[in-house]
Parts: sequence; structure tokens; C-alpha cells
Amino acid sequence: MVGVSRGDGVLLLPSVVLMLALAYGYSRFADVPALVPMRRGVLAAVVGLLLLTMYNLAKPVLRTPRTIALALGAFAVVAALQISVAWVVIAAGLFGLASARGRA
Amino acid sequence: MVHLELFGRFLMISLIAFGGGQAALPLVEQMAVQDTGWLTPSTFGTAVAFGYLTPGPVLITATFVGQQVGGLFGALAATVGAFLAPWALSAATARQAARFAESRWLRAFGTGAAPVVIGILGVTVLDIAHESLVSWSYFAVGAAVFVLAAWMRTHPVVLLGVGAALGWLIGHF
Repeated sequence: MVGVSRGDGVLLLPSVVLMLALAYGYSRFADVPALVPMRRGVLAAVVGLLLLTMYNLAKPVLRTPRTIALALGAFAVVAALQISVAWVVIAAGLFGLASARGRA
Repeated sequence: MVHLELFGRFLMISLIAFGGGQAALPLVEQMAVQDTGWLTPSTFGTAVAFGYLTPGPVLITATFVGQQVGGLFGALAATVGAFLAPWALSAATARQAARFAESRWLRAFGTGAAPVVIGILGVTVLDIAHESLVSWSYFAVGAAVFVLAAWMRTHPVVLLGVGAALGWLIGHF
């Protein structure tokens, strides 16, 4: 679950205000042709950052053939089928629960 | 009605995002881009960039998605939905919260859910790459950012600035 520690509710307010300002700015300027290449550059940077996030998330988790198979399976299912990811995550979580029960 | 949907969908994401705040991003993308068609992949990518620019948890992208879909009240509904469960947990005593986090059932659920979230993040990266890496120049920007972030530990805000500057150069020369 997403971790938010005590007191983060107050700390969140400036972020919400800033994000709102950015969102309204985006609505206004997103389609300005002169800004399209810049936006593409930012998105290319986002791809690089998300690849690193993926690596950091994967390093402690994808350590066994079972977890690697689950990740690859989810990639294939979500890429190929029009299926809500919530069901995929819940199904995988229940699989985790069932496996733990099986081992217990 | 869309406000209620925003609240409900972000509440669901916050409950199933095993692996921390970053793990919620692919779930938000699949929900806001693939399931509902609320945003294009590139608009979602911009939301992620803004998420790096703002302090606090990455799930703040909920505020952006909510605003794009339902204006100010949409932003509020999505933000409350995304942070209600973590807030409730932080309101519990430290002992109760620790007991919940260490629950055998929750951990067992996470052993199945966490790897799946990583696979889904792969799809998200591909979706954004498909719209942004339209030439080798942009591909090189993405690769350079990855290298700088991984080995030099350059701050994401700096890297987004570098991406914007290089994008401007690519577009004008």
C-alpha cells in the first residue's frame, strides 16, 4: 500500500496546490506548437526515469523464477488484453495468499 | 458522477499499490489512459514529470488526473481518494500500523502483487515511449537520462530540465 507517514496530510497541501497550478498551466499551454519538442524531451526524460524506477522496484522483488514469471505474465496480459489492471493485481495477490496457505 | 468515479478509482489504486508510491504509477496510467481514456499517454507522462517536480509522494499525480477530468472538484475527489487509506493508516497508533504492515496475510498478498506491478510498469514505459521516442535523438535523451540518474544520481528535476532543453534543441535544429 502507498506509504504516507504521520503528518504527511499537512505536508501534502503545498504539493496539491502546486500540482493544481501545473495542471491548469498544462491545460492552457499543452497545444502550443513551439512547446511540443520541449514536451517530447521531457517525456523522453520521464521514460529514462521510469526505467530506473522499474529497475529499483525489480531488484529486491524479482529474485526467483516465480516472481519473474509473474512480472512477465502481467506484462504480456496487460499489453495484449483490454483488462483492468486492478483485477490482475488482485488475482496475483490472491495467488500469493493461496501459495502462502499451501506452504503453511 | 465523474467525481465519485475519480474518488473510487484512486481509492482502489491506493489499496492495491504494493511496493510503495512509485508502484502506484503504472496502475494510475492503466486506469487513466487504458481503462477510461481520460488522458493520452503523453499527457500522463507529463503528469509523471510534474509529480517529480512537486515535493511529496508521486501519487500526487492523482490531483493532475482529477483536474484534467473534472476540474477543481475532480482534483479534490481524486486526491482524497488516493490518500484516504494512507491517512487512515497514519491516524492509527504506531503499534496498530506496524501490526497491519507486518500482517502475514498482507505480506502474502504482496508477494503475488508486487511482481505484477513491475510487469505493468513495463507496459506504462512502453506506452509513453511510443509517443515520445519518435526519433533516435529523443531515444538518446531517454538513454542519457537513465545513465545520469542511475550512475551520477542526478536529481530528477535537473534531468527533466535537461530533457526539456534537449527537446527544444532537437525541435529547432
